[in-house]
Amino acid sequence: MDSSYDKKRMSVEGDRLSNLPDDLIHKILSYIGIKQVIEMTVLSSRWRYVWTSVPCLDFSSQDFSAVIKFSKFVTRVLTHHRNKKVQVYSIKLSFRGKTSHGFVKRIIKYAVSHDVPQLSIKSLDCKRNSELLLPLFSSRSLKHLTLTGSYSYCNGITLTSIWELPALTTLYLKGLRWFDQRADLFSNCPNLKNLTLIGCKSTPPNRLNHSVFNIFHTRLTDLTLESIEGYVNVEAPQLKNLIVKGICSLKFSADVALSLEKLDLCISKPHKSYADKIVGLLQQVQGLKFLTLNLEIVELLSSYEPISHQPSPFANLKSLKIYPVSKRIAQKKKVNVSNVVKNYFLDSSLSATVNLVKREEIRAQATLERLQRLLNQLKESIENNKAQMLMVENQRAQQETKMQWRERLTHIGSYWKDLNEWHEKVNKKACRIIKMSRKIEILLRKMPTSNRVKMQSIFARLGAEADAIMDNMIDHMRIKYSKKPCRLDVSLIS
Amino acid sequence: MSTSSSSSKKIVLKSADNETFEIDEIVALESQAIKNMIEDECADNVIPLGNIDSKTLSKIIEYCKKHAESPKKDDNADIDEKAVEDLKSFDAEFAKVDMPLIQDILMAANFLNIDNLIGLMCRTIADRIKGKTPEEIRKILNINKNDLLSPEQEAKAREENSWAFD
Repeated sequence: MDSSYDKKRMSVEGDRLSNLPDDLIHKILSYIGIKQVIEMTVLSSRWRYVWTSVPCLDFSSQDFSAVIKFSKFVTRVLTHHRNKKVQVYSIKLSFRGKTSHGFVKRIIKYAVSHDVPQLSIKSLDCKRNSELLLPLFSSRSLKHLTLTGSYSYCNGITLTSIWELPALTTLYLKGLRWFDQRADLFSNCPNLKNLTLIGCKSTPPNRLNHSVFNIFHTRLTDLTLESIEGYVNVEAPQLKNLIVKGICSLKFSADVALSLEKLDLCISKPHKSYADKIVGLLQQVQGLKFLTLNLEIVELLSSYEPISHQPSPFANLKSLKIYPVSKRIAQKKKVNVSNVVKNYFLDSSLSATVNLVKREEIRAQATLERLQRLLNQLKESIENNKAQMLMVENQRAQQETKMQWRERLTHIGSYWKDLNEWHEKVNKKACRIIKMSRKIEILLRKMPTSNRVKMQSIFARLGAEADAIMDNMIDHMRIKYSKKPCRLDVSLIS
Repeated sequence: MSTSSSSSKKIVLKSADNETFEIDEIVALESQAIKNMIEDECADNVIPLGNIDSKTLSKIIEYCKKHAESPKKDDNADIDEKAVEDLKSFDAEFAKVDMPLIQDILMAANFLNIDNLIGLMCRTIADRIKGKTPEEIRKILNINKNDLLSPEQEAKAREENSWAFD
């Protein structure tokens, strides 16, 4: 199709990445911290000046031993990008310590004055210094904003100002606190579509009152509420997707009840007294099409008598998914999802598909993931050991010629000791792999066939991988234990 | 969701090593580049892809097939959650291949303009080099020895950016 491209492609062996256009390299680097990106200037001539034009800047104070160094670093990068007029698309900052640090202010100032559409600041801690953030809340161009307070919401940031962010579409707030209850928190962000509140709290002026969040918004389509204490009032006629994690008292306006299509409700350890609230919530959202609940909720409702008197609220339900949060399979207590509960969900929507995930399935999934990690570790360990062996072997050969036989003996002794230690470690890992495989086999057998097929293929692939690794390992050991380890052998295995 | 009905239009792709792949048009449309060619009516019966070998091409077709089968977000609001999850785990499995192949797929996806696949490959590469030393990254990306900086150049680069090396 394009012969010049063709020639280029054929001329490189191995490293094809260097031929990629800058925008793709930038895309790869957008997932990597800016410090590492700058360190990559020494990779090759292609990478020499790549960092000078990256549009995504991800700063992390953890990359630095001292705050002052980090602060200088931030200034340097921002100054560079300003002077070179690089259009910055996203800035992320993650740090520990007080928000009063100059770099926080500098980054916010840069983001606002250079129309950066995406900003994320993690681990804020500023009970008193919240005015630092003020310029942020009047940005004309900010589209995506993430603010995360540190540790718990007691230490989090306090927000009092009114937000005027006309371009904002996505807002993610975690561990933050408001001091007064504004009737309407986000009304000056007219384009907000996606809102996430995690562990946020609105401190009432009168301490006797409960925390109350009022989310009144005409454009909002996606809302996530996690670990929100107190009351949440939602008036959002366009709301389609709602995720609620943890218990909270939700009240919807009538239009939400009709617009909401998808609800994902998860309470990992629901107390008996929550059943009322849960049913109260479900009764409100009658237009629902997709409902996801954790098994623990359904188990709770199965023993909740009043549900048998409730009519099934969902006339349009298309799918119901029930999955367990806890992986523990209780041997004694075999929990049944009662027919009454099933009827409650499905009576008015007979065509809905039901997907019931068993505890065995998520256990098998988790074990498969662990197995994969273990195999990766083992692979790496073997690779490293090979490289190390080669080095030690070379050193030994060099030194031995100069040594007396006694020294040589202790030298060889320590060498064998290292080897044996390594072998023991590897052996332990191999045993764990075998154990895990058995566990997975048993779990797979307990699963319904339809769900089993996919996992079985993954399991088979991992099995093949394990086989290859074991082969590699055995070869490796054979060479090492052969009576005359000479350098020829070593060069063979490298 | 009907992708493999016998009546649907077929497109034939020819790889650099002259292997031909007959696929449904809807699968080929996952590639913006091929889509443009078809729309401009400049696609013959056989589309030669002289820079993509058959191994890479078959991987790309596997990806496009799966993604063409899955309901799209924009044309159907009622996306089945299961389908979304299914696609996610497909992507995760798809990316578990060695680096040379990932690089080939990225190059080809860029050429064919398949947005999702470009994103997936970029993320995969980033995951593999994240937190690694330059020496390790050279090995992972298999950087050509001829492109390496000379010791003097490397020293100069380090000196220039010494403020970034903590």
